Amino acid sequence: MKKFSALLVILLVATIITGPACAQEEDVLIFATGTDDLITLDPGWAYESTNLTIHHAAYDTLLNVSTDDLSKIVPNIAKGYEMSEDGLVYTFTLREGLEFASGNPITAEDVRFSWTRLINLKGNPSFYADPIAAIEVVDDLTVEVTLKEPFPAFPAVTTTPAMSILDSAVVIEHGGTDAEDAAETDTAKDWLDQNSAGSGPFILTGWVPNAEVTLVRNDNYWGKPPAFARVIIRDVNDANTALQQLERGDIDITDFTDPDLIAQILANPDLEVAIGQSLNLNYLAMSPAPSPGAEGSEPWIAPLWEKKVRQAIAYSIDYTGILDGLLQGYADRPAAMLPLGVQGSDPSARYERDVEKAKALLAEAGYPDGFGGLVLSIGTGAPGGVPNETIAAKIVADLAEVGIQVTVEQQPTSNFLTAYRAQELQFLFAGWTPDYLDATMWSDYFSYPDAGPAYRIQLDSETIADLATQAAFETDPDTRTELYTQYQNAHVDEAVFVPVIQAQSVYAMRTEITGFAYNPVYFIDFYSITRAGE
Amino acid sequence: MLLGISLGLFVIYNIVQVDPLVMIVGERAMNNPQIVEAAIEKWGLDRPIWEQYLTYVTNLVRGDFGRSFLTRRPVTEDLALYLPATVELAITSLLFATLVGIPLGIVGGIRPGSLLDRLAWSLSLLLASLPPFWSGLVVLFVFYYHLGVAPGPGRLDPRMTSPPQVTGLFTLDALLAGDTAACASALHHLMLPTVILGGFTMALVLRVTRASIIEEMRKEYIRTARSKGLSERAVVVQHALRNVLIPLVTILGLAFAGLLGGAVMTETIFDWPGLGQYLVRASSNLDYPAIQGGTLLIAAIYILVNMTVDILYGILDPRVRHE
Repeated sequence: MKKFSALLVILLVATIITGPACAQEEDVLIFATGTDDLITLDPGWAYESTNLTIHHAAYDTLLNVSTDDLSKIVPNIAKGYEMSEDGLVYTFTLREGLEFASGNPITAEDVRFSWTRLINLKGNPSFYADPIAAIEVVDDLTVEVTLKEPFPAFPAVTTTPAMSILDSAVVIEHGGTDAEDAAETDTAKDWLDQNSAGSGPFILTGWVPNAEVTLVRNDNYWGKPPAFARVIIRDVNDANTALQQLERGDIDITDFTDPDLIAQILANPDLEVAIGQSLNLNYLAMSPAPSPGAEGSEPWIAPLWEKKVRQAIAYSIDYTGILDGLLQGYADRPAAMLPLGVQGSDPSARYERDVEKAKALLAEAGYPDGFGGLVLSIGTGAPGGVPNETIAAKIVADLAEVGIQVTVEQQPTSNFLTAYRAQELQFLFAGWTPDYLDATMWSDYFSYPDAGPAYRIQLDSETIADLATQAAFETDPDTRTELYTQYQNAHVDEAVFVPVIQAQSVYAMRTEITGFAYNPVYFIDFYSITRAGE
Repeated sequence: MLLGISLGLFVIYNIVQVDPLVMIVGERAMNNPQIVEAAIEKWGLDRPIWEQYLTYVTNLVRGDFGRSFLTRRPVTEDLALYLPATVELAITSLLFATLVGIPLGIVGGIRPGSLLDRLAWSLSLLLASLPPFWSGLVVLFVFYYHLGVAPGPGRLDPRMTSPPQVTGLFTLDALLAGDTAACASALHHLMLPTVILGGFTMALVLRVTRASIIEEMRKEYIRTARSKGLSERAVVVQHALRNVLIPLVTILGLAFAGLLGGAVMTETIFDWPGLGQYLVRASSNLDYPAIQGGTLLIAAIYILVNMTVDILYGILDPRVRHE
């Protein structure tokens, strides 16, 4: 026994001293991030966040969003598309001679299979395909998609990773099907969790939950070969240790940073920071209704149903204090629920803090001394690394200055969303993350009394709804921009949704990493990245 | 007993009013009634509560813990994935605690007040009183970041991929796959978290050993042994230590169960994908099947360890056997 333990100690000490003596020959890119949101890597089922980056690396969509101009759609494996005059039929033409990683040719049938499977799985991302009425294969390289009604955002929708084109032969071989009962009979998920069946620059070769996702170079890729032989997405959950790993060169890029750590990153000559302007909004919502949505419920105490009171609140918030003080300047904000960078968004119309004006508006509304009884509801979360409760405390203090007394009620996010959905909340702070980059991603949800957050907060404005519809179906780009700006200004006047934070993602990386470009849909494109000196 | 725990958990869950639906289908998809309907049917959320519980218990008996709302995988699969990381760390921590704690405790117990005893005593005080969320960060900062002698967080070198899962213990799996580099890396990565997690148990073992040795050495049978002319070594190892083993086994049993369930802080700091992290995430998301599955597993481990300890008593102490 004693000899055994002595041996063990020697063994342990030896490994401490020598460490792993393994040197990797091939060039590996290590990206450290929080991967605990991953549930599945099957593009037909996944509806989280980290999977978007992985799917973008392993799969191709017909079209892409230009990283330089988010309102521009560029060709990808489709050369282009044509829209019929009535806006109902889209005809996509595939590039010739393209192959999947497996060597199978990419055909119109694969497009039909992938999208039909997405629809019939009835999973969380299936709603992307909601506008589709029929998909018809015209020939090997042409596919015709008929929509239920005109939907100018459709090309933008096809760029989302859930609409990726899968290698139908490989998926079927592993139990996949596009049959109507695919929700019950498709068994490809387990395989697609660990492997990919796409044509992207990388191939998924493994996923260990809460540890790592491994991608290897697709030697069959139709573009120029990717720079890295392997990409490992490694799970981290502490910003301090992630930074230590980055400084020591154990990892190459991380988005797991804290605003507080940025000064330390900038002080290190081996590291640099890249800012990605996300399209995620965190907003205040104020119900224009006098009471919760359920019939017979008690009316609310605070008079938010007065437009002037809502405007007064919007004028009272110290936005600069929140963005520069709490988020250290790593955030911005638009005027209404149309983020900066999206068609028609114009920040010049946004509310700025003006305490005198807020007090005057309160007086005009009949509340010269302010009022009490207002409850600010929040869920759990931390936009830009700052907890909701900290932001809520700042808002409470700002409103107290104009005489409005607010108490904060925090709940687990699932409960908060349930209450919001049931129209039970009068005043709240919540977030909105887009799935594709067309302005309808916001105007469809924040405009109509029967849909999305507009329903939940009981917004019922004909002006806003009309402008949202007109803008959505306008096909002339300039007129559409103009209509969206009008739509935005109508929202500013109504002051039901007031955006407070449009977060920026901070990426810290080694200086030898080049070619990083942030994309608000899939965040990071491993294909564009290279390591300098190679 | 396990049934009681499962019922308790079920009642608590239904008192805390939660709507798992939003979590299952996601915010945006709630707008699509087809998806919502499919989810309600798939997860049985439309059935009465008693029926949900009955289904749950029936499945439990068949070894089916249900599906996690969060990961969508069967909870049994999840536990099989996360438990081995925790078990591996718990085993090395327990080894560290016994291999360091017992010898130091014996030395201190034989010569209380000596320099070595005082050093060991201070070390145990230090390890027992520092909270892991602090000491973990400090050892990483010093040994990994500054000196570069220890590896960083995680179970393996960041550039390596995990060995194919057989047991889930990376050291073993790497050996089975014939990958000695990965095995060395896995052992290497176990060092710091082992010291941090095992530190408290080590202090406990050291103190119990020391106190028991001091007590035993004063007893008459030791004087008898000595008067028989036995060497001091034989007196301590063959006579005193045997009697020290009983309290030690009790502590080690409880400590092992505790190491399995209570390593959350260490797991977080060292990016260790273990049971603690899994359960914390499940709790903060009200992922009820996962919470219940994990809690039942820990309860079962406690029961199993206690049974083992009881059996060990019988082996170690003949008096227990007679009763």
